Amino acid sequence: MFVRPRQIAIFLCIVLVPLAIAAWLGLKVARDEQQVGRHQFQSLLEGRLRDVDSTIARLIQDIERQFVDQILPTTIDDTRAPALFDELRRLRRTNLMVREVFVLDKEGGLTFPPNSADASPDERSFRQRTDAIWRGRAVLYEPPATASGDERTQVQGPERSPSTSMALIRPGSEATPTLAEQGDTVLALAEHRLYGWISWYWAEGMHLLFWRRTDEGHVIGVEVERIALLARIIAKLPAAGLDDGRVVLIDSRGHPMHQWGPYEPTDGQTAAARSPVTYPLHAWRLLHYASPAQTKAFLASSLRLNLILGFVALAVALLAMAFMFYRDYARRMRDAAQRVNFVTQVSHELKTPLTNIRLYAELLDTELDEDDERGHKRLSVIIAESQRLTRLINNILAFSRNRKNRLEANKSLIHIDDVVASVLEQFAPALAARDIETVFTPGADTPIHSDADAVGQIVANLVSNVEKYAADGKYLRVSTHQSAHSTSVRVSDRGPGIPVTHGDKVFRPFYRVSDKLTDGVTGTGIGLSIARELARLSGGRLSLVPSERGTCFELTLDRTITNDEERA
Amino acid sequence: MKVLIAEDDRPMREAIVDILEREGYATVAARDGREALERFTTEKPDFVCLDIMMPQVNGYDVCRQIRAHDTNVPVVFLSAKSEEIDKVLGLELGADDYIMKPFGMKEFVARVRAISRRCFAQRPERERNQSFVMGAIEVIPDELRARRQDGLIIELSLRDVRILQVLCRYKGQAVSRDLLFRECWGGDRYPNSRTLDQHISQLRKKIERDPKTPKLISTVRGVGYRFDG
Repeated sequence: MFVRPRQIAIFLCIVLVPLAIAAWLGLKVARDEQQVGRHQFQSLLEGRLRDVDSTIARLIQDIERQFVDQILPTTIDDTRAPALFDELRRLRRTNLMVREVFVLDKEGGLTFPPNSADASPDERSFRQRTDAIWRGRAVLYEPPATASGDERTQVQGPERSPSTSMALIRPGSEATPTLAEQGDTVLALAEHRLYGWISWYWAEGMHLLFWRRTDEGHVIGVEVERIALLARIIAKLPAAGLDDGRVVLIDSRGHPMHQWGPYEPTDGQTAAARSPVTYPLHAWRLLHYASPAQTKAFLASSLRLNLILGFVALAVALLAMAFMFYRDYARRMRDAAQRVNFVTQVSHELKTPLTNIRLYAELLDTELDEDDERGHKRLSVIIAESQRLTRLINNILAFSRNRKNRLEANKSLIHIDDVVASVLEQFAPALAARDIETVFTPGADTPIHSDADAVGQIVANLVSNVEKYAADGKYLRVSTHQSAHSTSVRVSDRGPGIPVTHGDKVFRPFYRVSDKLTDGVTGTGIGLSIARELARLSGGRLSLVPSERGTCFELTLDRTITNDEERA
Repeated sequence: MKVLIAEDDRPMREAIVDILEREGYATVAARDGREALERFTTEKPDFVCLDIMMPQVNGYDVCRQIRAHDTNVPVVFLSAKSEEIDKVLGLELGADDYIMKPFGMKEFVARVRAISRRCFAQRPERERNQSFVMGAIEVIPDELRARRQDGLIIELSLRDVRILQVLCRYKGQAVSRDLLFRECWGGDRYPNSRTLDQHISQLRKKIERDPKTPKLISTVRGVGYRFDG
């Protein structure tokens, strides 16, 4: 079956437009989902880093507790007492976490390590590298404030005042250590804290001091042995436990201090998540590297698969729906075509027997005696009826061709009066049988360029309608007229006429004026429709002319003649 | 003149044979395309009437094969296929005319006469029939026409021409029915007397000013007819 481009276009619109919209939405959702996936992945990794940081934070708190509760004395009577010095030196020797011990008097002066000749080289070195701190020239960091009370998780410990509680800070939050005022000393810090940390940078990196306030108001503290601290941290950190990826603990210079996980990051690979270590080690960082497989496995979420499946399901549903519509449409078109083809086929099949009827009737007509009027009359009826059937078949075929856009006009030079005369000759017996007086007034003796068969069919349809619907008027008048630019044929009768309300509708296919006019009258209702279309194809028009009495149709043809035809 | 009629529908085939024989043509009939080709070869007709939708070989193919042997023999298609493309195809294959069914006797006869005129016109000079005068009319055999002195052109069938030729040849003499049958119907296809009388009656209507008082063709009772001049 011939499929028109318009049908294909509609089919494509029904299927492709919704699919395109669904695909766009799907892609958008998938992109958003991927974005969310990335964030979630990052959050997962950062969560792992927070866990690690929590471990470090607990260790720091343990160390604080040890220093505060066990290691450092709570009272110092004399900050310059040699016994104190001995105790402090013994403390340094016996505790791996202590690199050096220091004491500040109430005035903030450093009394230990002493600035004397009996100070050890380490003690002298300590004084030298911490001098700026004691003189208030170092930039000290206060412990970070928490973002809100809800975020603060109190680390439980004995005799811990709320004001000195260490808070677990969420990595990446705004609660980073803040700079103390330039010139502040440790003594100033000790005025409102019981203990604290001091981190500062010197030579090879970050150094840590832990201090506490004594009952007398002095300050005693230790420089933490960095290696020992790191060892204790590493001891707490997992050596394994990661299925994939790698976590790296780096110092302030970015040097890895400890790492674990099966994955080996490539050169230049960026960490998927990073987090600062808790205070006072906030210059250190925890980095989490993710392997490509880990990233892919996480980001290739089921939603994408669901979206693809959903898209495919939608496409299948739309295609199925479009196919069903198309099949139904094609079936109806096929049925209609079959009906039209059937009618066409039947019409073709009727032509041969119809020819036989006419030929044999005409042959018999020639063989009858001339005075056999009755016989001749009966044969004339047979011949006229076969001609009527012929016109009907021609109309049906023309209608069928028109529906298939195959109706065409074959123009040549014709005499309209001859065509009209031929049609009236055909109808003469039928008109006489109905006592219809026929008047033909020719007035178009100049040939014109038109389709003789089409004009004949038009006039035949009009005269046939007079015979069918206006016989009671007993009158048919056909006149032709020519002007400079057109040739017209008028067919009028004195029948009941066509009501004004029906107007142009009578030219519609299958339209019947549904009143007494047509009751009991046979006909297909396509004659005027065909006649109008043939008129159009012949370069003219067929119209219903207002008439005081009966019905009047006028066929108007453009009077066009080529130069060659004029000469002929 | 011999005409080959190829039509698979028997009533139509017989009707066309009847019409052509009335016109004075000798006919050869074929029921299908294959028989049509065989008859064309053996009978060598002067022109061919072909139906298109025939069994064995269709009319288009018959025409193609005829044209391969003889480009001059006129071919007329008779068909119910009425699409423009059908007509164009038929004419492109070399047919001289395309008559659409249903057609009436007059139309068919008119088309056949037109073909016959072309056939006659194609004959060498020595084989052409000379015009002759019968009273107030000039009979032009190769045009199947007569021209009256007042200029009226009268269409004649082949048999009409033959009858007039015989009557003119035996001008002033009574021509017997048997002679007319032999000369104008030919062979052993003798019609009955009534057929001759009807034909003469129809001929008079064409050529006589007053058919009821004929001047050109007189009836000789018991014998036949005569042309007095």
